[in-house]
Amino acid sequence: MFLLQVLWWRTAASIGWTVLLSPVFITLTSFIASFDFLRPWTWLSSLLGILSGSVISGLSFHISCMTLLVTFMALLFAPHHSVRLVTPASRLQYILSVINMRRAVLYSTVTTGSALLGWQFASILTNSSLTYHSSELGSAVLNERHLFLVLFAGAVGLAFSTSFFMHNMNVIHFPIVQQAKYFRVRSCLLAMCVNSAMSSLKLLPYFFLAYYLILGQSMKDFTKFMFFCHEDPSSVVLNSIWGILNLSLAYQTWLCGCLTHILLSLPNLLHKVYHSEQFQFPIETNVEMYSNKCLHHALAADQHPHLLYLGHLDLYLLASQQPLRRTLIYNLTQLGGHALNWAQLSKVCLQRLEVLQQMLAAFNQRTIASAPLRQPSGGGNDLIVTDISHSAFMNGSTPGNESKSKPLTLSSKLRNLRFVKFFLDERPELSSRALFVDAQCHIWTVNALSHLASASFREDKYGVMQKSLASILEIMLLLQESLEKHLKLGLGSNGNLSRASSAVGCANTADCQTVHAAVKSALYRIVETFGKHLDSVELSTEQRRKIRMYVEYKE
Amino acid sequence: MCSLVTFPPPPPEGFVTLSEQNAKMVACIKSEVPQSPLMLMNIHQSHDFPDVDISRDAHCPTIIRDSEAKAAFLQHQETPRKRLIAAWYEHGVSGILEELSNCHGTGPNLMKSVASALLATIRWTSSLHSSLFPHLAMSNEELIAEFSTNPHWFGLVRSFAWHPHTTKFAVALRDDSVRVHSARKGDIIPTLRHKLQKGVISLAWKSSSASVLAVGCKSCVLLWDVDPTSLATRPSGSSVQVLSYPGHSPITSLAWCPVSSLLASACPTDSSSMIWDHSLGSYERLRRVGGGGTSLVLWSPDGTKLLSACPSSVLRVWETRSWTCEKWTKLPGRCQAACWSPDSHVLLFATAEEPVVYCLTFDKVHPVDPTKPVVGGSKVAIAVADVAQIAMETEGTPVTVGGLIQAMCWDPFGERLAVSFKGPGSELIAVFQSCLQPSVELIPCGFIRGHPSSVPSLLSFHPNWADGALLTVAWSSGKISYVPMYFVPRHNVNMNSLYQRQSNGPWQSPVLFS
Repeated sequence: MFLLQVLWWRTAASIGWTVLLSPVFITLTSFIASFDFLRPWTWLSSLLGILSGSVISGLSFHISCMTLLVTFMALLFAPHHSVRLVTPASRLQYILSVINMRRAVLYSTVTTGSALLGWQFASILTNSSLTYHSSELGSAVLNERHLFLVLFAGAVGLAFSTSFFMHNMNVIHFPIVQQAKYFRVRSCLLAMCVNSAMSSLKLLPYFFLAYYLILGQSMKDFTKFMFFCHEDPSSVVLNSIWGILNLSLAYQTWLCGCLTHILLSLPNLLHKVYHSEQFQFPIETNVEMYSNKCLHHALAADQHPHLLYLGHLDLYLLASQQPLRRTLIYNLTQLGGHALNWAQLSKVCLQRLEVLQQMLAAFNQRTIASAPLRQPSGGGNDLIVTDISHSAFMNGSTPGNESKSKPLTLSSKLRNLRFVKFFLDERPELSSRALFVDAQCHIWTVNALSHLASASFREDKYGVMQKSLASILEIMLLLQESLEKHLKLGLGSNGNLSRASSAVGCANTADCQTVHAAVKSALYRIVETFGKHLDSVELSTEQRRKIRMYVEYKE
Repeated sequence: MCSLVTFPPPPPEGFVTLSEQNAKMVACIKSEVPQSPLMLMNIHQSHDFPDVDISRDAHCPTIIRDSEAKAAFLQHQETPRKRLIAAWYEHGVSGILEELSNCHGTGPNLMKSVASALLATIRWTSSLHSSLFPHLAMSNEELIAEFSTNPHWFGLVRSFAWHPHTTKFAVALRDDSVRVHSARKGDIIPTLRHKLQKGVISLAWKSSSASVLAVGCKSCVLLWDVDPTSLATRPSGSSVQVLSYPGHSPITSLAWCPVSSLLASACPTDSSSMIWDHSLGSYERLRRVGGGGTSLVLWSPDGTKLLSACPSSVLRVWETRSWTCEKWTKLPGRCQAACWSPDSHVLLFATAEEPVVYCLTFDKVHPVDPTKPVVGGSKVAIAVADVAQIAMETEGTPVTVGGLIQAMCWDPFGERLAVSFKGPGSELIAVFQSCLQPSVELIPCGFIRGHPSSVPSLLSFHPNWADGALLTVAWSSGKISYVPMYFVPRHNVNMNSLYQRQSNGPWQSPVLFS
């Protein structure tokens, strides 16, 4: 129910806009394609003729076919979007994740769909169909130029769908400022078109080469077989040197690829913009229908990551920017005067931070325990790796250990081969990545709590929030300590592969360092507001000492 | 409207202004100035302020106007072809065009003008401006010098910024190094240098942080993390984060949001201003049609509004919840200086073409829906002070005061406004008393004069000085001086009367409950 309300409408709206915008792009591209370098004025006058309506009706069949195809592919892509950036630990897992079954189906469907798109667009461009009737031969003849465009569109579709996962284009990033959707789309459209043009251009030479070497003959044979047609002996074959050196073909092909790429990325862009918009959850409600759709339900919706993220984003925005909704949190219930709203919210938030802190502490502990230790052996320089947690010596380099070590099984032998190791080894920089999968949520939580705390200084009439100030400070200090330790152990660095690229906004990956920075400025925000009053908050001596450092701006 | 005619006469030449006490300027003859003007302050505070004079510094940076490495080598007459090839390798097509448009007297004039026209076209198309603006044909250095609030950008001190919470400031020097001076004497003074740190024009400390400093340079923004407990005098490159975006350079203004970790940056050749998130390292572009770039960004103290001024006669104020903006056009010139009132409801600004201080007021709540953010306010800017150049007489000698405004700054209580000028009257700083209730009003207070033959470069108020306002002035001579202004803020006076009036009834005080 919840999902239906929040997410499905957004998907529907983004697809609706795709349907509206695709014809515009198709028409524009076909106008550009018909541009005549030698006679620009005739082109312009014919353009005006087209706009007056006669040709548009001729195009409308192709355009509606293409729009349908685009919509279908947008629907296919929709369930593959996600808010979490999942980074596979080893190279093998990475390869498997890119070519898994569900995605392979998507790749093939998108490739076919794009080829069909190319087919329609080629019909507009060349004003002919894939086969035509030749009066000389007396039978159907293959239009090779047409086939070339169709194949290139298919290639663009394949390239797009694979890079969609390889470059994490399926990850939805939430913008740092909440601009209106129109402006977000507008600011990304140009970048999207340029990106499409560039990727189409990059693919072009490879495609020409592939067509010349293998693809050309086989696909021609296949098409001839499928459509019962023949080759025109008088025309220049495209998989020959002269066929390839055809500039107008290259231009048309590039344009066709460009349009296909745009039509694939446009729904993607719209989907991301719609799904990263803020959703205002009710904080409290008396309406039965909404009784399980409040903010604290969204904050605890671990099984639906998207909802979880939207909930946290809403919490952060209400804490930092919306004073009227903030007062609802500080309010007491009508009956009994309980601070129910705050209790529910704070419970979820503090628990989330606590879980992260405990996981971090355990991880740090494990790392320290399995760190290589230098044994004070008599003059030997061997580094003995001691794994305390498993209490087993694993180093085989010293001759004494070799006899004691167990005989290696086949699988462990295989594992030690350099080639296999390359694929199976966990990349060290990503070892703690799993802890920070939802780092964005943690950052929002930390910021929201600090904003609520500092706003409570003036707005919290009943002292609802200030009762838990001590626990907020405590968990933040603990978290900060664990994060610092984690960074000092050299575990917090970010793998280059986890950088995500997207047309919307830029790559933002939350990780250990960003959470650390967020916790620090959250603590400073609280300290700034309360200043010396923090002395009267009940904290342990150690934590009091730390808070003092913050008060003196020495952290 | 207040004007300079009603001001008390400025201190005569040879006098130095020491402080202001309840709207009276205190000045004394130069030879009697105490060793450090800090001595005038209360004992418990005097040791808290660093005494900085760049000119007498042992490490006074050598005079290198062009900070690029090639300046260190002897000038060698290269053939134009070689220079063009070098420019192509270093900066691409725009480098060639810049080289062509800069070649003085060597090439034909026609080629030069064609090259600068092409350069302007490239910049114009790359930023998709709606009309052609003259500043796009300038070189980066010229742009920086033009849009900097510092009239002596090529002088000893380039930029200055107080830390928002502690007594600590950063100064950018002529050699593009940035030094961080902190309260206690004997503390280490970290010097920040980086290979990308060239043409420093703006410095900004992050709020809710002890250490993060943003440095706006010719090509990018550098975020330094200057650890206050570190003993290193030269923080390493590992504590720098570089923020850059193609086409977004040079950066002429930086502003941190006072309540979040957002940083706004302005670039006069880029049609959009950028918002960066420090904690995530991500960005968002703010773009609206018209205006031709951004030269100045300024966040209101409560973080709800962002001013972005264009190099043309357009001024925008963004509301930072849904990022819609309100536009004021038809200004007499580009916005040269601006400042927000402490309650974020009043914006004072001055244009580059007219010696007038204008005021814009903003609504406190949305007139229709109180849950919506406010951006609109007064439709028309009101002139609140006329600072046109006039001749005054002080102890028999004529003095020119006023003129076009160079820089303005408002103290954190909203009680004092300091204004510096361009042109002949530039050695004096005019100080106004200001009052926000019931309407914005500026009242003459006095003039500040520095040491002989020194002109104010940068003005800044200490962000949290308890005894009134502490104006910090970086002079063209390289000296940084403090002018304490002692007064009881109106806010405190009102609060005291409030205590008395409501002493019997319930009173909501901002104190801790637990």
